[in-house]
Amino acid sequence: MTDRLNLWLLAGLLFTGLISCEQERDPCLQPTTAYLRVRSVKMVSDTTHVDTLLTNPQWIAIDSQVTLVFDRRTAAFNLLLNPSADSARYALQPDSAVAAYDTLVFYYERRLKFLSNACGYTYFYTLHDVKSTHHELDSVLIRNNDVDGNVNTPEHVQVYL
Amino acid sequence: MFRYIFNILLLILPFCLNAQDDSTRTEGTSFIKPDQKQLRLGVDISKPILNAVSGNRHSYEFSLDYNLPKDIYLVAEAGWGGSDIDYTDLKYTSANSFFRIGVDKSMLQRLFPSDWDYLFVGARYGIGFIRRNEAVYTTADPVWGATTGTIPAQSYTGHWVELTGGLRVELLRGMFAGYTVRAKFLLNQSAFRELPPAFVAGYGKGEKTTAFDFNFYLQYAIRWK
Repeated sequence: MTDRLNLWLLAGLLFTGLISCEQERDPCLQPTTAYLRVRSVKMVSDTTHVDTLLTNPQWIAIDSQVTLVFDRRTAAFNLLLNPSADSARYALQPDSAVAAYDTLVFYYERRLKFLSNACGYTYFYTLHDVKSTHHELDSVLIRNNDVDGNVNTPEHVQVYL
Repeated sequence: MFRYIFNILLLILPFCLNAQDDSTRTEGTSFIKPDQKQLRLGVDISKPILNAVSGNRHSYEFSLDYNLPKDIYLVAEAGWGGSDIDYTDLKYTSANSFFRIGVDKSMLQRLFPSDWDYLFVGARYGIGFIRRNEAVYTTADPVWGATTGTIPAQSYTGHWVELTGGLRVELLRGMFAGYTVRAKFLLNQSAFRELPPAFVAGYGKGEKTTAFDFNFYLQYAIRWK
């Protein structure tokens, strides 16, 4: 019996070396950032609206002075809320060729969320209010409060121009 | 995935091969009883190898088994270990001890009374006492920069069951070598919701409900009539 088992014993010893090559941290396979999804729209009747494609719009994070440049015509924007504060201020320039700005202030509650040892932590948010100036903007509507990285939900904010 | 498949193959193949041999050779023979009782002490020598290779985890495991009638072995295992996680976005240390108890059943018939080589399948219940120290996390994004915070220390008690398989070979009189492969199933996943340790000695990855493991033992047997 021993002769046959010795072969398997050797296989086990080799296997010990094999599992030594196991990687230490798993790769992170899920999104780690929860974006605030904003859509620009305009009313076409009392009850319906359509997307408003903006030409090279810019969103400027006022408190960090980082500018998000969208170099094409688009109506959909992914913004980042400030995980160190309960509000985030952005200036929206609907057309980069026109020096017209509106300021939007997003008010929210932060929730620290553990994803996994592979991905670490992130912040989710519950959006409470949005205030804005009205130079180019007509109004702002919150459609979805939960900023939790789920992209299969309605956009969070509609801005009417 | 390769590791899991290899584990399962390693577990199953020996039984297939030996089952064919034994069915012809031992047909009609009666059960051979051991001529002695045996208590065996062992140390898992694969863990120091893994400790040396891995920079962020360590564990040590020991085993004790005693043969019961019908080639059943009562097994107790214990050990300790921990992890030292030092990622760019997550840092903490953890430590734990663990105990396992169960049985192994030999799948081979003895050739003679002092034949102690065997292939086995078995089961275990395991319990781990885990302490994760305060963790520091960092989140970073291109607009607002890095945000750092701490997660308070936490203690956990983990319960799991295992299916085991493997073999033992007596290389010298009273000196054994052999391995055990294990499939482990965590029973209380809900206790590990908030930052479970990346590594729990005796179990594996703390956030997984299923884990696979491998031990390579050197053992010394004490025998008496």
